[in-house]
Amino acid sequence: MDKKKRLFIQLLSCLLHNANLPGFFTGRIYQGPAKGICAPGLNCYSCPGAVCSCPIGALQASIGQSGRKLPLYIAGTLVLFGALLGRGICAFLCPFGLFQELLYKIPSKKFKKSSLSRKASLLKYLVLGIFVVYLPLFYLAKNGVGSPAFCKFICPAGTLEGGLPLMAANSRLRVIAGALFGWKLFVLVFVAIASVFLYRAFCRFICPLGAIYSLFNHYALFGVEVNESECIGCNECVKACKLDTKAINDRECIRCAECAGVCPRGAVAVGGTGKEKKWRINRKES
Amino acid sequence: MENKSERIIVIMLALVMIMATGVACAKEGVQTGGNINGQETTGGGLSEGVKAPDFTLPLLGGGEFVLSENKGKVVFVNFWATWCPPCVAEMPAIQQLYEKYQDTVVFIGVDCGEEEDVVENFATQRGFSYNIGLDGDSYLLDSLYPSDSIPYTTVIGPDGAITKIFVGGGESMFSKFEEAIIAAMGK
Amino acid sequence: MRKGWMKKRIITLTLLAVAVLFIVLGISQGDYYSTLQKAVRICLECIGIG
Repeated sequence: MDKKKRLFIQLLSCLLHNANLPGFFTGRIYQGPAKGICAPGLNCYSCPGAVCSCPIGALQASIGQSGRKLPLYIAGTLVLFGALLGRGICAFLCPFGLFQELLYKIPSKKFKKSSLSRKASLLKYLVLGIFVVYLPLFYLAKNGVGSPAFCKFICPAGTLEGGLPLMAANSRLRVIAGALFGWKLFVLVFVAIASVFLYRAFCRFICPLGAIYSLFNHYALFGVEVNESECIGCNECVKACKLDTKAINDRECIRCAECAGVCPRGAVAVGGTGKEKKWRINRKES
Repeated sequence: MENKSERIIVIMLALVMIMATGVACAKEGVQTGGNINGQETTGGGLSEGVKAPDFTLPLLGGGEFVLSENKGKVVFVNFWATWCPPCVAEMPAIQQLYEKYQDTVVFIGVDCGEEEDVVENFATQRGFSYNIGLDGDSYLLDSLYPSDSIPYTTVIGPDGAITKIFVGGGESMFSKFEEAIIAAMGK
Repeated sequence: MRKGWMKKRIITLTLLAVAVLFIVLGISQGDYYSTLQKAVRICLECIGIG
């Protein structure tokens, strides 16, 4: 897949996630029926442009709701997206992923992946477990209503797309912004700066949505496959991969297809995963 | 051939995007509220000083609440929902104020967009005894008292005009609410 | 190799079926409506303001 084509799809997706363009000028959020559906990417539902719900926000709200209901609708949506595209959503559809990629284009020293960053890529599962699942339940037990802890304390996408545009258009909000917003702004700035030096720093180490989708990478319809008969074991694909993959199509793979571009034999293909065995650079389990 | 199908997909995506933008823009036009008085509030048109729009709501536990029937008294209207943590956090403060000022001030907590049994369970669990109004369709927050966010509180003076609007809230609202009530009583 | 692929395909299809089932069950228990309600009314503290 051509880099330009992927960028074009990312831009379109960003626009689609935020199709309510008038919202940015009026400072009002979209309130139509599409908001009951979850979008695949990380796009805050309180962004004035957002036309759908954020799956992570909806998941926390669902978990934090008192009552015996399981969040079937949200879980089903996440499984559907995951089983179809896996982390291909990260590379093609997520607006915040696009934001980080654009920042990485700023010329600077770039820090390459390492075994340390591979280990750090596990952090996002902690973020998922603690901020998206545990804390809303904890607050539910304590206060009778769950707080969406990831949205409240961390999510830089929310600050960028929801917090800042709303503040810009509504003076009343500027007045009530306090220490919490200051912290979230810091998180956003930190992530933005990190993205200049580290490719998709948020995606790799923090994003709980990426963490969820990664669980489906091995089974997703859309993935990366290696033609075993053509493969010469040169390892260029994994070397070229900017994410913390150990093997093609593993949990860190976002299907950006850069590996396909460097394979000297053209043995790597991105698309519907087929019959080939997964290829690992060393025989240890990842 | 792969190029052709990719192109088709991209063109379809573009068409869907244009349609979605069109639908979203059209929907925005249907939204009520906005800057009615040229005043800026969070997604709304009401501001301090304007006459509070009259409304009628069913109350939890039976009966009806009609705003205009309370003219001559200060009316404290708080918009909330059971899933909203800061809304829930400020309700004990409202309950305290109710117990202190109930002879002179009318309190109503308008629950938005939820079913009666959800609100019922919540209110009985917590022991809130002030008026709880049920606005299951969110009509008030959508049209009359437009606000994109909750908690949203309006204090209405004895003459029927809004004296104070609170956007947001949370735990430590008691003194701010009390201040606004006392100020409204003086009008 | 073929068996491995078949197994994978079956798991994928099962996941998709489960996903659709969950979505349908979720809608029938009112989840669409409650997702909508929470997305059209911003809880400011929830998004880190105020």
